[in-house]
Amino acid sequence: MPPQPAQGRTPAAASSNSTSANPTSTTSAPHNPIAKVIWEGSIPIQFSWDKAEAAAVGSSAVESFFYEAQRCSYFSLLTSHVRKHFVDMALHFIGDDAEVWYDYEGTPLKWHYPIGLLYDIHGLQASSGRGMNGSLLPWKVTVHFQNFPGDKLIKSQAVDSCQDYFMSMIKEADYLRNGSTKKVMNMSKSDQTQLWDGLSSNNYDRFWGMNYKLMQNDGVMARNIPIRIYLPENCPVIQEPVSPIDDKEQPKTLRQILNASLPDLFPLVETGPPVAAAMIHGVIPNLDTSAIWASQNMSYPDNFLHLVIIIK
Amino acid sequence: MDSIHNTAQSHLQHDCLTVTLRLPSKRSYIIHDIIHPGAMSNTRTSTPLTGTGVAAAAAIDPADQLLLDELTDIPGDGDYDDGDGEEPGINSTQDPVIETSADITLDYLSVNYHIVFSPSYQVPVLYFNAYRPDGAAISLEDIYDSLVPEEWRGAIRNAGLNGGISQQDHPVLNTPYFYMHPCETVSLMETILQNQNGSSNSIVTGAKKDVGSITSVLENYIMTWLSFTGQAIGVSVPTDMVTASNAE
Repeated sequence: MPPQPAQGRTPAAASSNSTSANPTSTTSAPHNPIAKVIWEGSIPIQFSWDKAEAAAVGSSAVESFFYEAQRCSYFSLLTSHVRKHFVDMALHFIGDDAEVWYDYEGTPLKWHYPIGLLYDIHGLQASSGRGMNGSLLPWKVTVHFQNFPGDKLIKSQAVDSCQDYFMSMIKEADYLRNGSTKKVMNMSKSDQTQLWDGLSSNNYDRFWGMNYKLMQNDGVMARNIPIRIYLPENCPVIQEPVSPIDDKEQPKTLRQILNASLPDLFPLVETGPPVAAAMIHGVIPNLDTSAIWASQNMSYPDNFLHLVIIIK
Repeated sequence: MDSIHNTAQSHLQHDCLTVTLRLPSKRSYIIHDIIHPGAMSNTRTSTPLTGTGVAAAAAIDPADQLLLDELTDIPGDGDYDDGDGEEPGINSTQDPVIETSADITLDYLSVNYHIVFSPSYQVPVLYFNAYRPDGAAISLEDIYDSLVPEEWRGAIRNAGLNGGISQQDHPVLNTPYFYMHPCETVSLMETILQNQNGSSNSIVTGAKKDVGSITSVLENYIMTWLSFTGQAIGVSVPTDMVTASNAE
C-alpha cells in the first residue's frame, strides 16, 4: 500500500462537519491573518509501528502511516486514525486507544503538549543541539500499543483526558491574566465546549470566535502573560508570572522577558553573536516583538505562549 | 541536617517541601519532611515524627532516592505499631532494599508528597504519587479508593471542571504526578486567615517585615493549608507538629 496523501486537517474534522454547521453555536472569528497562519501550520508525520511490537504479532512488514498534522493539534486527536491504520494492516490485532503512545528517537512524546511544540522540542531543538541542520520531515514518530510508560507520560491519553488537560491550561492562563478563573468558569458549558470542539475539528472560526474573548481580555491589560519556556535536555519548564508592561508602563519585549529568566542566554544588549534564540511555532521571532502582542497572536490554542529555546 | 538541606536544594531547586508517608491500611504517618531553606529559613529540617526513615526502594523516583540515601541514617522512634503483624522487622531495618525483599509480604502504599509553589496561582500545591510495594504507581481511581476519605470523595470528584485531583508533570521532576488543583486555594486560605486573630492578619498583610515573623507566618500558612488540603488525600498533620509551630 503506498503512503497515503497528506490530509491537511485533523481526523476529527471528518466527523464534526455537522457540529460546525450548527448556526446557533458558531461565532465567526475576527480577521487576524497571523492567528490564521499559525492555526494552519502543519507538520507531515510518518508514523511507524514499533518494530518489536509489530514482529510479536507477526506484522513486521506493516507500512507506515503518513499524516499532515496541525501544529496546534494533539496526538490524542490522531490516535483513533493511527490505530485504525495499523489494525487494518495487521489482522487479528485490535489495540486500545488509551494504551497507545508515541516516541521520537526513543523519547516518549507528551501527548498533552501540542504537536507543534513537541516537534520544536524533540525535533528542532534537539537536532540544533547536535549541530544538525538537515530536514527532519516527514517527522518520524514511532507508535506503541503496549507497555505504556506511566512513569514518563501522564496516563490515559484518551481524547477526553486531553480535553480536560487543555481546559486546565485555559483556566491557568485565565488566572494569570486576571487573578481568577472567573472568565472561564462563567462561560456557559457550550461556550467552553466550543473552544475544544473548534480545536479538535480544526474549525478556525469556531475556536477563535470564542477564544478571541479570552485573549483580548475585554480590552483590559493582562496582569501576567501566560508563558512557558522550554530549555534543552529536559530541564524543568520555566513558568513564572510575567507582567506585560515594564516600570515605565511600556509593553515589554520578548527579549526583556527572556532576559529576566535567562540573563546569560538573552542579554538585554547583545555584545556578540547571539548564543540562543527563542522559537514559536517553528519560527524565530524578532526579540524586539512586544510580548503581549506575541501572546495575543502567537499563543497555542491553550492560550500559552510556548517558547522553545534553541542554543546556537 | 545540613547535608539533607543541600541534597534537597540540589535536586528540588524550586521552593519545595517533601513529605513522604507510608500508609499501612488507612493510617498515615510522616516519615520526614524537608523544607527548602530559601522558602522557610530556620524551620524544622527533618522531623521523624513517628515511624522509620525509609520507604520501599522500588517505589521512589530518582530525586527522592537521593534524598533517602541521606535519610536512611535517621533513627526511627520505634513507636510504630502496625497491629496486624504483617510487617515484621520494619522498624529494625535501616536498609530499604532489605525491607522489600521477597520473603516479606506487605500490603501498603508508599506515598510521596511534594509541596511545590505554583508560580501561576501563587500558592502551594500538593503533588503526590502512591506506589504499591512492587513499585507500581496506582491509578486515579485507586487514589480515590485508598487515599481519599470516603466522606470527601464525592466533593473532590465534582470539584471544578475535571475534579479536584488530576495528573500533570511535576514542575521540578518533569514526570507525571497527581496534584490537588490549586485554583480554589487562594479563596480557601483567605477565608481561613480572616477568621484567625488580627495579629496574624497584620503579619500576613506585611505590617511586620522582620524575617522571624515572616518565617512563622509562612510556616503557619503551610501548616494550615496542609491540614485542610492534605486530609483530602490522606495526609494528617500530627498534633505535636501544629503545637510546635504555634509555640514558636
